[in-house]
Amino acid sequence: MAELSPTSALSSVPRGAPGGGVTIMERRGLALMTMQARRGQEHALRSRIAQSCQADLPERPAFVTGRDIAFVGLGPQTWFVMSEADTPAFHASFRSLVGGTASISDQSGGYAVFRVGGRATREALAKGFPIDLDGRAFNSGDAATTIVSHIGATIWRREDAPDGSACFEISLFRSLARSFWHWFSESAAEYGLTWQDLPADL
Amino acid sequence: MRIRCPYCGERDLSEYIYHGDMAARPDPAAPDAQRRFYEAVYLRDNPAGPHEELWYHANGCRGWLRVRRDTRTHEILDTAFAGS
Repeated sequence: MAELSPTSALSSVPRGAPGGGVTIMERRGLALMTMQARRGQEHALRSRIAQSCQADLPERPAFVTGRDIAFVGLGPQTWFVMSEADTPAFHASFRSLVGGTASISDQSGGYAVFRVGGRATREALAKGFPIDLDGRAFNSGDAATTIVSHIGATIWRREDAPDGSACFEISLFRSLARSFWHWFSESAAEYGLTWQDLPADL
Repeated sequence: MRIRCPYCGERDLSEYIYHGDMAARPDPAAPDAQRRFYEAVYLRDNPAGPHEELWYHANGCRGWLRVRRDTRTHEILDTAFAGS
């Protein structure tokens, strides 16, 4: 049987603008889940995640990484779960790990995740995000579920790039990726926009 | 207008949906349920000043908030999760 591989959330759209002020890539092939602790089970869930994934589930809007997995706080007792191991074995083992302590919803085909960076990232993002992304208000590891140009999105800040520029990741419903791209490409065009991973199917 | 969500922090009004008065729904099993519903629907208080109301943080943590708002100034006096 042919291997099924994930396709881009943004096939056949024009990309980029001359210059290098802003960069974007789509993090394809991720296992994505939403996870909500069941009533009275948060403590049990936390200890299982701490033991098996070496991660403390954030109690606030924050991004934390564990062993081959990352978590973003979306709301009280609710998290976004990401892993680069989007395999049936991973999904099965994570489900059995949390067992009856949380409800899991597979969103691997439901969300798209983009990574944006470059020296003018904040200027471009500020045109759509109604929150303060300045380094004093939004540190590495901070996250926020909000809107961008009327599109529901979650944004978190990763470690800065080696050149000192900020690096953010944005998740949103995959079906709205084109609308996001329309806004983002227009907003970033004046700084120059570079795609870092042209999908093979283009 | 900005509302402080207990989880997300201070956010713009556009992230929220207003759901109205915090007053509890009348008991439909009460003997005078019809009168109580009539009063709840048509004879609501309309205070000029602090008002307890429900807001849904639709474009944030998707939590229901109990918000105390001054209807004259839109000052947000207090917020908490509705279930807390």
